[in-house]
Amino acid sequence: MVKYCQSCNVQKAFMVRPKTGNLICQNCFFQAFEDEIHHTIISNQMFKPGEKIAIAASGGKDSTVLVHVITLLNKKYNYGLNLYLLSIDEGIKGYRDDSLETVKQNQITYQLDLRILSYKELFNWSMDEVVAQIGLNNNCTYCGVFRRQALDRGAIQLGVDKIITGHNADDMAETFLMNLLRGDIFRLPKSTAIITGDDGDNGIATLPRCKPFKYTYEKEIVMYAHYKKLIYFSTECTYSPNAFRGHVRELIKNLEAIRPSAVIDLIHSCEQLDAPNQNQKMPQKQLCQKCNLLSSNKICKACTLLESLNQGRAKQILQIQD
Amino acid sequence: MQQKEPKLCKKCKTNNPNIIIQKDPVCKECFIGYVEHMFKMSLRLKCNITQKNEKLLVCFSGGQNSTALVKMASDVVHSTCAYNKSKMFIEVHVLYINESFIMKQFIQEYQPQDYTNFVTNECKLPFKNIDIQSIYPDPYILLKQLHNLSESGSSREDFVRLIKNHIIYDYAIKNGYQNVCFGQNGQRLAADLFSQLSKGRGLSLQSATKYNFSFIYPLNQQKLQILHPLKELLNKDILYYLRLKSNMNFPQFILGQHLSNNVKNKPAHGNIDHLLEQFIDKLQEGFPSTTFTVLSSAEKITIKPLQQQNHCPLCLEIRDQVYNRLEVETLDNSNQQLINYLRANTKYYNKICFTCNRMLQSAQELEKFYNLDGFPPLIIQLADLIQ
Amino acid sequence: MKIIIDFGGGLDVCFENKKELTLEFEEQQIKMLDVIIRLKTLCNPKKLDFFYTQQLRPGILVLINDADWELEDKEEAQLQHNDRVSFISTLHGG
Repeated sequence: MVKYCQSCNVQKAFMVRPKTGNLICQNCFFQAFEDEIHHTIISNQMFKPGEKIAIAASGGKDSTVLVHVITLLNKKYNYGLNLYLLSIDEGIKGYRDDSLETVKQNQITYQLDLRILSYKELFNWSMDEVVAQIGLNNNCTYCGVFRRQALDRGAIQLGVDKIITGHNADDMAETFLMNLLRGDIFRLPKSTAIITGDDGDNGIATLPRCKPFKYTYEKEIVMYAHYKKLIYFSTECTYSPNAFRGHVRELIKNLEAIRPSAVIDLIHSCEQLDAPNQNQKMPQKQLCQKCNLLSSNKICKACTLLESLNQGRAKQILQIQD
Repeated sequence: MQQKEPKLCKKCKTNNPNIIIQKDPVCKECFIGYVEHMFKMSLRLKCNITQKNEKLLVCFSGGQNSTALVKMASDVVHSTCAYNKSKMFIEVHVLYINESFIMKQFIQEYQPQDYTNFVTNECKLPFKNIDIQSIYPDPYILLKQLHNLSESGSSREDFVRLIKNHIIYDYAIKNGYQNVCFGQNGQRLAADLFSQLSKGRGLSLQSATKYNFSFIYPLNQQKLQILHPLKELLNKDILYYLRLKSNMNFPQFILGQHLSNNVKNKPAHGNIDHLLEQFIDKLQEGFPSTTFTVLSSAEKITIKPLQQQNHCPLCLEIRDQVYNRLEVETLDNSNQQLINYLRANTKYYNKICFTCNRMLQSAQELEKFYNLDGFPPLIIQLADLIQ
Repeated sequence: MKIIIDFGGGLDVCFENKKELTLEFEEQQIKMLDVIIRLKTLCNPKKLDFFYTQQLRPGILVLINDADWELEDKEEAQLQHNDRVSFISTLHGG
């Protein structure tokens, strides 16, 4: 028996929507997928006409689909945005060097300016060198902190107003659960914030990071890329994530298998939460005395980590913190 | 073979240790002393049970946690604690909700259990047994509703839980109990919390995990206090306590497992609660601070102020705010049509909270659920009362 | 050598409702891991996930002669002739 799309009732269904379990045809899926991202952008007043936007592009599925969809919506709905591609080269042989080729391909396809910044240039350390120094245990901490800072520097160089990243609904749910398990109550309510970094307390504003895929399932991103025949780079980072995060990822996949709405439901849960009471001290924001970028301490995390690397004593520092 | 230095109990420093509590090896006697002390302190200091002759309704399911709870309560009331025998002058009443009616339908080889001997004779506490189907005018509607709910995703188990809660609250109110005691230990509370969050119940971050949480029962505006006095203990503590204190046989049939009997090839038999229990148990073994980190953050977090405090007639929790329509719906036509239809054609769609909505979403005969067709009069009464 | 096993908290459903088992080992030196591997073969395959995930299911309390196996080295704990090993599970008890 032929099964028809439950949205248009005309075309043959070609997939089940992971979010609802409804049968849907290719066209209705593309339409709904793009409409939902447009809705996310509009309902959150993410952009103003004429703004310069850097798309954080890694060459992976999320950022490849992000480049495609944002370019498309920008034309279709006249957002009036000037788009740039911004890539970070962490210096991981056999992983990032290959994925950057994909980004270069995107640059040609969508005719966008591309800026690539490398850890080696910025910090004089590539991730390969970092791992050689500190081992495989905490490397993700370094990489994460360095990437934040690298993106900020790249965005400043490009002179953009905002950075958009490809974080999807699954990533949001994962961050939420990670922060809860870590007991990080300051970050917890902001785990799923769609725009971060523009709070501007103490008169310091940093570049806003926006996440247009907040309500977009990872599964649907993969499907969209597949059926649109977008070329992306799909290899896991050679330095795999720590055991803790691995457990949480597996949990989210299992949850989704049992109750597909669970990913969005976790986001909905997080939206109900607020920052802790006034009497619990929030870390104060200030400018790092070394690099002059935003920090919650006198010296920012990136500079602290960098200094410890340079003194060859990174291992000890991490052990003391634990 | 390498000769190990003989370890001694960290507390009494005389006996050989049998179990580890919070990294310290202790002996059997000191362990029991610790659990009993912890229970009394939780009741007095954390649950605020300080008045003389205060009445406590203890919910008992026949499972391990609530068995331990009943046993501890009995020792406290009858001053039969092994060590600190000081008596607490409280009245404890045990309530058991008998699920046999559902069990028999889902489990062929089911044999009903009678807990009267354990509660009345062994623990010497007054015991009340209520059949779960008794609040339905037509009990078979309950079975039909369960069959109509999706088998995967814990919807059926959630439904049974909310019917049980209605019975408990109703019984407590009608019989003058302000304090309702549940037996979940800390590890179970942490797992429950994760499970609730995965179902969208962010508002319950505090209420689900507090030692004591009070709310106003909508029907007659009376205050009810939900207590979790075993919050400081872990699964392991409960198991070892029972090992030393009771000869109870635990039921072989766990309703949740059987409600989703035909779900194959899904993690944890398609049951979210069990999946999260497994998740927390696994982390707890690798990272022993897991449970208490989660519970202490849950206590510190606040929730966003709500414009209105309306309750959901099904779960009686506060109806949560939706900040973006994509949390609730998708923008493809089929989903839009369904939601518009339910909004326009059912009586209670807008009163039901986000999470209960998710529970019903995949049901057969959706309109019946959203019209509360055949539901217990108690629930319909609440729904009509709630704005 | 002989090891006595007992099950609590409903785990007996995995072993034909037997609350107690006796395992015979030819070796003179065995550790807990050997016991767990042997029990996996005896466990009712339908109920296997109560007892076993990749290893022994997390959350099962294991006692060697009534003392927590974490006091020894868990899987590595050495056993003696006539030792009693208890497995007690939560089996989703409420």
